[in-house]
Amino acid sequence: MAQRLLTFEIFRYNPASPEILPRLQEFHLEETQGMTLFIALNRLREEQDPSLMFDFVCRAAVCGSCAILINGRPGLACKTLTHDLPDKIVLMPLPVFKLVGDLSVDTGVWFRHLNERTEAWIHTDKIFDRQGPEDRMDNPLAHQIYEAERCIECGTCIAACATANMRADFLGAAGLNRIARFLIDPRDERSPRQVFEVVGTDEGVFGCVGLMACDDLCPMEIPLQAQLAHVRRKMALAALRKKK
Amino acid sequence: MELVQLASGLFLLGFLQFHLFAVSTIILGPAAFNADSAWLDEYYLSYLGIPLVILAIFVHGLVALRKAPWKFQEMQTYLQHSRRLAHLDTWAWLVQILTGMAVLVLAAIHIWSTLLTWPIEAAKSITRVQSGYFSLLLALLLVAEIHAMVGLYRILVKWSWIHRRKFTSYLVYATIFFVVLGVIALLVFFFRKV
Amino acid sequence: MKWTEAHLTDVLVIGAGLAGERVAIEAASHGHQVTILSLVPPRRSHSTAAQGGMQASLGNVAMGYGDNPDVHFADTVKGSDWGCDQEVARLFVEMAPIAVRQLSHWGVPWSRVVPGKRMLPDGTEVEELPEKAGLIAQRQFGGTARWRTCFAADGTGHVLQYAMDSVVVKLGVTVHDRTEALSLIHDGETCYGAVALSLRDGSLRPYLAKATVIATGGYGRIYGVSTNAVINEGTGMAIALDTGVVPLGNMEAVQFHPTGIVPAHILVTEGCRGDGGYLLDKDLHRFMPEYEPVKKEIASRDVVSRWMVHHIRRGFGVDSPYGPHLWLDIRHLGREHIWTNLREVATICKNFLGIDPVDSLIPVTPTQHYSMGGVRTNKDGAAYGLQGLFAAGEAACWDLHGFNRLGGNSLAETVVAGMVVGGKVADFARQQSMSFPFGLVTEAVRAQQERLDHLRRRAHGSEDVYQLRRRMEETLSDNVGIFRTGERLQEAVAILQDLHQRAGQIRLRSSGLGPNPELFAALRLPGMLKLALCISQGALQRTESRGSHYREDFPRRDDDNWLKRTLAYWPQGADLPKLEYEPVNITELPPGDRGYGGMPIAGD
Ligand SMILES: Cc1cc2nc3c(=O)[nH]c(=O)nc-3n(C[C@H](O)[C@H](O)[C@H](O)COP(=O)(O)OP(=O)(O)OC[C@H]3O[C@@H](n4cnc5c(N)ncnc54)[C@H](O)[C@@H]3O)c2cc1C
Ligand code: HEM
Ligand code: HEM
Ligand code: SF4
Ligand code: F3S
Ligand code: FES
Repeated sequence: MAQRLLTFEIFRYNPASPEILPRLQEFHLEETQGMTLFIALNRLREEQDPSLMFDFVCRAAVCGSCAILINGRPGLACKTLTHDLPDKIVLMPLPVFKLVGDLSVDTGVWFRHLNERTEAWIHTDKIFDRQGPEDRMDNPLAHQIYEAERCIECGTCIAACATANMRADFLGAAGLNRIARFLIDPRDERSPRQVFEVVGTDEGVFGCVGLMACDDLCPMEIPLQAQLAHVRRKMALAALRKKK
Repeated sequence: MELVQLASGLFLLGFLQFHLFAVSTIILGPAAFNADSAWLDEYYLSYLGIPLVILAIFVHGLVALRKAPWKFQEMQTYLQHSRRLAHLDTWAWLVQILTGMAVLVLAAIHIWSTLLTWPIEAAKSITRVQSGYFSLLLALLLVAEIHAMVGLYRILVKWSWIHRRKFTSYLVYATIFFVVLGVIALLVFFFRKV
Repeated sequence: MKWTEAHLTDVLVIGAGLAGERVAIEAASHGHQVTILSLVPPRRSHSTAAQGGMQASLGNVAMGYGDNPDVHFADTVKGSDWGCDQEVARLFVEMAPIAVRQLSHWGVPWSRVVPGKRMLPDGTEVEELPEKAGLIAQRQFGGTARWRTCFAADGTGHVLQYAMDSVVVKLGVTVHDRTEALSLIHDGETCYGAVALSLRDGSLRPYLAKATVIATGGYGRIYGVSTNAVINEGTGMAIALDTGVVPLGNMEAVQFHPTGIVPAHILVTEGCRGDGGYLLDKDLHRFMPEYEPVKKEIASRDVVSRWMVHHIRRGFGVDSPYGPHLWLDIRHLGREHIWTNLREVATICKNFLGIDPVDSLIPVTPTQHYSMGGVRTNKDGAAYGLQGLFAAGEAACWDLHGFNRLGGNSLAETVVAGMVVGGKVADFARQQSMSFPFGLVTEAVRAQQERLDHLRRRAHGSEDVYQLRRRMEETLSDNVGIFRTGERLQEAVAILQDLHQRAGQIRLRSSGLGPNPELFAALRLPGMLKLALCISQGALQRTESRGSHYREDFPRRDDDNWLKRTLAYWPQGADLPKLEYEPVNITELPPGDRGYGGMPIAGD
């Protein structure tokens, strides 16, 4: 197999040097076998431009640090093989989130804020008993919670969603999925009514117009369509009950 | 709000399909068509139904469009985003909004012109269609059907338990079926002698 | 330095992994104001990558009936090859079940017991009793007498970290992410906090606290080839070492995990073997029973890794462009089991190897994985040498693991240590009043600013940071790996000393302004090299084999001379660590046979 010469066009901007305007910079790199964007970007940094900014942590698609726009579509850079991409690869930082520099964006602060807004923790009056056994739970239910809990807060679904791009305060699929996770967990004693106060709005679940880019692009393959529909039904019911 | 949108959307959807069947009775001949119309009048359904439909369009339009990207800035973000993403469902939403607006305009003309020559009779309809309304109705048929089916798709996506890959193809078939039915009816209007 | 920029807090926790967050929660719930620093948002910490599970002797599953803290204790001590502190181990095994249950209370979706009969891959039939239905389930891990590892599918670390962080968010604990501690502020007796660098804009800021906790995780990345995240560069240990008065314990004890995939070096969990997976060689022959007739694939990690390399050396490795490897076979576990309980493994195989482990073999080789060594603390988590400095988690040498950590004991350690040390930190902070020697703080910030300015000026030197770093990684991987000899270690020390000296001559190729990765790498490298030297020098001096430390020239454990812990100090301006030794605390279980790994592998 003849080796390809890849052309990268990478978004560059360093807030510490604002006189240099945002631009696309071109790089070239020989493709190697099994090359991922993790490998490619690190080689570019080490061999060609040591100031290139991007984020990786786990490089194994479990931590959610490395989402960027790859030829326009958001995805995890660490698990994207150059093999699956054309000769020319355009890399941009995720929209919606605050730019740190080049490909690096601040997802951490955004998600912390999301978790505060949705109060994403177990609300319970029970006091933990250090001596007693644990409360029981059915294994299928535990799996169901796990399914929703698998979200790695990568921001792909936020960047992919036109609504989230237009409305800064929209919770996005990740936020709604987080709600679903706590709705199905019996340990969280919040009633659907209480949850409704938080998400029964146009910034919450009713802001979603069903574009499904989130569902198509979530790297964890969380069934976001189903999770969103679940929350929407629960919230509609809560709204109807409230009126009565 | 969302529920109003769901309800109005569903109602209009029901109406459109019913309406289409009703109009399609022309295929069976003018008599059937007139009978239909008369039957509806008799039970006051028209008198109740027509304002209701108009109202529903109004409400639905208002409610549904609150989410459209009104500000120029938003529109720009949206278009830029869609182009970048090259994602079918995201484009479909744009289609939904545009067809929705087209429906608003076209349906308004259409309803107005129909009501001018009350009551509805096959003969009048045939003249109207032949006197230039053909293309307007064809356009309306297309946009309304596309809008309605994309709308139905969206409803299923947003509310139902079923995974969307399972029902997408059915919806495409249904759209084709209704459009074909509508076109045949229109052609009948067009070629029938008064 | 402007004083208005100083950040004051009761407790400063450096590191937002499981250990750091658990400490923070404990301290915050005692009413202290807590600030956490982290290189990355907490939920991206490396703890989230842990797959397999967390040990606690609940005894809920059939193969775990009769388990209790005593059994867990014995397993841990044997696993450590008698290198651990037995008082700490006792405390740990008693608390682990409480930790697991509390996590359940906080929302962790532990996998649960499903009653009924079921056939294990080796043909034994087990029956889960109905009265245990719905309790937390456990799986088998290496080196344990009973099934004891609690899990949530195989995303255990992820769900633990998310639950932990949800409590942090709930309590409103301040978190400054993208912030790196560069040095500790101290006067040789007391620690007053840390000087930290913003990875958002490259600015410095002092953080002042009554108590400071290092919970910065492991240093795997100094090996280059490692299962660890790219942020695991050991900087937390390095800043403690830099004080000159705080020692690092047992740095030569480096764990290699048997199943890193080739070539991406991503870990597939021990749960694969625990759940019944086999290791195969190039002839698809299952070789472990020959070496370890009893424990087979699930002897402790040090032992399995050694046999694997040994087997490869005998010529049974599978050749590949990336060097020889072996196969991990989990096909017989079946699709359903793999795609539920080993789901992340399946996903990793799909993403990085392009295979489905349901019908394909997984290429694996032992890979650097865990640091048993770290900031030496007493059983309260207080660091040796400085008042007000604590450490917990992988960054610490609390000494639960001695010379080899058991799988599943590390997650458990982070949480249990977090509870224990957090409590002690809270007590300490309560007795302390806020007071800071201003001159000391100004001087500490100035020293770091000077380093930054020096690098940004780009006036001197010619060394490239990435090249030096690569050389360090190769040296450690080649010379300080699973099998070690005096000669190779001597060579490593010489190379690393040279690199350390050259690291003072780094010249940046880029401007170093803003969030500049080259600048950050240059700031970290000297500390990483110091750790590398502590490891190599410690290994060179320890002329015996114990746990993961294996000397081909001294293949046996030597309790007469080496039943002791290494303490590495780095005196100001030195070019090598100063090694001291302290006795190991043995309270219950005198040194004996581990029951596996008995056969020394020498002379081939
Ligand atoms: C792939 C893999 C799988 C594993 N699986 C298991 C398992 O199944 N069971 C088990 O028991 N153990 C497992 N382990 C081990 C276990 O996950 C770790 O030992 C444990 O999570 C370490 O937690 P920690 O809190 O000490 O550190 P980490 O989770 O590594 O957190 C370190 C924190 O410190 C921060 N930090 C580092 N340096 C600085 C600095 N200078 N300034 C500011 N902040 C800093 C980082 O940002 C991070 O937040 C696994 C490890 C790996 C690599
Ligand atoms: C509520 C008042 C309405 C009345 C009384 C009405 C009546 C009619 C009549 C009589 C016709 C036959 C053609 C003609 O006479 O011009 C017709 C055709 C048509 N109408 Fe309506 N209509 C109404 C509303 C709507 C709305 C809201 C839509 C669109 C959403 C619509 C879409 C159509 C279409 C597409 C056709 C052509 C059907 C074909 O293909 O044969 N109508 N309508
Ligand atoms: C007045 C003209 C109309 C306009 C401006 C309009 C606009 C819209 C818009 C923007 C949406 C998308 C809203 C969202 O997804 O949140 C929508 C949805 C929908 N529309 Fe219309 N529409 C019009 C007429 C009609 C008519 C006549 C029908 C019936 C045939 C119809 C059926 C639907 C349906 C079924 C939906 C999906 C409802 C939902 O998402 O809950 N619309 N419309
Ligand atoms: S839901 Fe999926 S796409 Fe969205 S943040 Fe979570 S993992 Fe990423
Ligand atoms: S893409 Fe956006 S609009 Fe809804 S379905 Fe997903 S959140
Ligand atoms: S680096 Fe962790 S998901 Fe890509």
